[in-house]
Amino acid sequence: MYWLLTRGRFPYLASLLMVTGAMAYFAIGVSTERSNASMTAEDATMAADYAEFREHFGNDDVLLLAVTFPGPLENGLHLLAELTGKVEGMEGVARVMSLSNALQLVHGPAGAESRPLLPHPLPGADSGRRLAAALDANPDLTGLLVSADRRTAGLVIEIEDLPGDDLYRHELIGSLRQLAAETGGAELHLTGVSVQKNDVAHFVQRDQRVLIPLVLLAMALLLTLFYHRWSGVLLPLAVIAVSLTWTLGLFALTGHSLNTITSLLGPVVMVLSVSTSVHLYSGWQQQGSSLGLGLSALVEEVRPLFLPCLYTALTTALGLISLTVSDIPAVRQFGLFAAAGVMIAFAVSITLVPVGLSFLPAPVPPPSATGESRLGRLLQGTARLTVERPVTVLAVALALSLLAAGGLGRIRNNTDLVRFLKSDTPLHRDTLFIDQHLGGVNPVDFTLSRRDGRPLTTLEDQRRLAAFVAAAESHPEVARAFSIIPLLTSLHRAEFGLENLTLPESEQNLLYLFDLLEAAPEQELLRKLLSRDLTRTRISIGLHAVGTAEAARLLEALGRDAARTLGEGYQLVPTGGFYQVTRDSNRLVASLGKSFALSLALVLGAIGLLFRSLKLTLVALVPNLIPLIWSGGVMGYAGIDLSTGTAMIAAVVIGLAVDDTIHYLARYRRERHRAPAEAVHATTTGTGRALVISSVVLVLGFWTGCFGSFKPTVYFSLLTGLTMIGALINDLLVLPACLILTGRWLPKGAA
Amino acid sequence: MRAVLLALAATFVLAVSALAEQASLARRYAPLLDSAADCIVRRAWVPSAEQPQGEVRLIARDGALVMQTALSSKVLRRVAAAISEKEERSWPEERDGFVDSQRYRETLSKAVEAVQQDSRAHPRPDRRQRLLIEFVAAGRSSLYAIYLPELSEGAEGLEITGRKLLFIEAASPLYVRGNLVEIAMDSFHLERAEAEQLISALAP
Repeated sequence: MYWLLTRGRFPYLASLLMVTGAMAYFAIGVSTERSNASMTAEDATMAADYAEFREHFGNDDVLLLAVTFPGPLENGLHLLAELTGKVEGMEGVARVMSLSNALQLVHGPAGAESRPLLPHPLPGADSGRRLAAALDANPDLTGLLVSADRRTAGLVIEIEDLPGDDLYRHELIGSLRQLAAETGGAELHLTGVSVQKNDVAHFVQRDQRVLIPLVLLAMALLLTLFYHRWSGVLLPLAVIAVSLTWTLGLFALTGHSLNTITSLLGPVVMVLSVSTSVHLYSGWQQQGSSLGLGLSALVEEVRPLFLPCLYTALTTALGLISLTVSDIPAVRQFGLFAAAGVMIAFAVSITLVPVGLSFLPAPVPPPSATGESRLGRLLQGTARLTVERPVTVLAVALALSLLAAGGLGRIRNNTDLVRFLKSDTPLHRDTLFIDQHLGGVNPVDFTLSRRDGRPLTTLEDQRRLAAFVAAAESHPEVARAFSIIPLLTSLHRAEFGLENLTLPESEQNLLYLFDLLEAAPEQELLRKLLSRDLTRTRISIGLHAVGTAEAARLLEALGRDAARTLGEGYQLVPTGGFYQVTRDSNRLVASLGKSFALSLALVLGAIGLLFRSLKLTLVALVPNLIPLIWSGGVMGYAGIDLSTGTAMIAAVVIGLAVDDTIHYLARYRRERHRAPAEAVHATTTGTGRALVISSVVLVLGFWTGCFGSFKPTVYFSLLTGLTMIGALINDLLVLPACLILTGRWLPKGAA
Repeated sequence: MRAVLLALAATFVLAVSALAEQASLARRYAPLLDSAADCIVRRAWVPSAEQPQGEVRLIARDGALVMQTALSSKVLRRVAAAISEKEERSWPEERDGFVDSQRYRETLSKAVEAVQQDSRAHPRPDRRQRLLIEFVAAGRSSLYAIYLPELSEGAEGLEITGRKLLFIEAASPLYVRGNLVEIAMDSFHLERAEAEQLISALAP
């Protein structure tokens, strides 16, 4: 340490600068994930099911573009045809289906014939009547290509599948949104999985641009407020900058990209990295030293803080490391790299701050906590309360905890990708509009096959399929279900010149319909619903814009429907992006339990190792569990759902909350040669200032995340900050009260 | 009662006459119907190799050029309807050959009916119905014949293992040769000039 603070200063600073410069190169180039692949759990079975689905039914990536005309729909058909043509010509578009190019099956001289749905030219004199007649005759188009009130038309846009190239989707979505300016008064709304991914990537980049400078600014203002010295601002900021650069640089160097979860990495590491430097700086300020003796005083100041700071960094890192048991790659990445960032921040703080301080003259001690400052008076009052009324303090804490526990039971496990974004974002608005007018923005796809592997060409097969589809559509969460049934009934009607849409009564006629389908030129479209060998058929159930909680309940209900209508002879395999998100959300609680238990075990182990006392470790547990219960209660009563973002809170906070406890207990052990009441008083007033400053910095630092684009990250930031406030209150009130009551049991610390 | 008997008698007479005429035509044109020494000049799956409903072959036969369409389809009625539709487009009323075309379409319709009756009587496991159509251009002797064939799938395409004559009709050389060109354009994806050159080079 002496070498570092003397001859080693400049070599150290030069090395630090060089490494930071190198890391900055990588950090600046960190990319943003466009596919959201890391947001879903790695599941070999689900991946295989989805691969099989795509093999039989092709690419399921579609966009939905809704066009609402100012007047009746028939007056907008020209514009619709124009729009359809424009979209068809865009790069990356495989196919577009709209009313203007849709076909219908009609009875012709030789049987069923495919004819345009709408009459040409458009509009004719009686186009309104003809349009209405065509739509009445083809009810399956309602909810897909036209709304029930017939004022909004839908364009189903199938995107080309170009693996490895996500940029063309971004450009296509941009081009589609630009169409809004060319529609002469018609309203356009766009949604789809690719739009979700695109907009999420955009907001992730936006958050990086906004939150990191905001956190930096918040840190700078707070540090100025507390220390009133440029050194008190610049040194912690330098630690923040270096820690952030190294962490993001490592992240980029190891080939990772930012997403909705890992976009928090920067702000979180910045906030967490300030704690050690604040403790060191506060300690240096309080010591006060004269020039000449400064070096020894500096070393003497750092030495007793080294272990507590190491353990606080370690416990924070361990809390974050516990996230690596999650099934979701993004959560694992966040935990791993945030933990690395915390340890990097510790290493930088413990070296850079003393080196920086070694250039400075003797500090002017700050307003004493025992003196006349407001904080000083508050801490004195707090110490007095815990000494004089420990039972009352514990009783109030217990009462609040019991109240909060009531809220815990209200917490709902729910991920709602659309409502993750704020209500004024285009995706949120557009998706809900399309859901209301056209319906079914969240598709869950099923592959149906017979267990005996035979083709699905018997009447029994189709009747059971029709029964399942009818059962599915009876659920209020289901907007509509797409299957081969409407095609078969339309073909049956057209081929035999019937009035109604029905399935054939004879096996022979049904086989004949399949023969017609086999010979039809529209094989590409047919393959979207039926495999080439006729052994698999697709059922696409369009759910309303619901979250995974409702979707999970619905999927269970659909499972029961399938058992009842399809029976044992059939296999129904769910797949698709939304299904995967629903499954992951369900597993969230289990993985949350795992990561929290691991976090708790690791943190308690670290405390036990530091203090070598089981009783002290158990006492330390109380002020760290209570804030979590309080925050859980707030979540429950405020209706904040447990989702991928908010599920991380407990594991992260347990590691943070214990930091104040460690500092308090470490100081308390040094004061333990006194009577418990005096020791508590000295600890609270002595270390309290640093605890308050570091906690306020952490809280306000986390709260800058409330300016983020995603609700889960806003909730994460808000609740983490609230939990830190709860932790501070518990460490200054509940912990001392526990120490007072159990004082006689605890070992005396070294003087 | 008398009128019914007269109608029945008239129908019987007409049917017997028609059969007799068919038999007479078959005898007269027997050499042009003999496929023993057929040499396939060109062949193509129709409507496409990905979704074949049959095969079209241009055949050099002793003294004649034959455009043979062998159909093997589960939806024969629809295929025949598509053929009729193309005929109607290619041979409008104002074009010489319209009458021949009209008669051909009627004959084709009867042939399809006969095949479907046979199919109902002798259902096949693969549900495919088979039909063989030949347009034979032999100078002044031009005709078309429709058969109920036995087909199997060979290495290069369909193989005719047997045939039963259903209908035979003489037609104008203009019509038959014209149809060779139309079918060549449609099945071999040729421009009109190319198709005419191909037929001219091979026709007797």
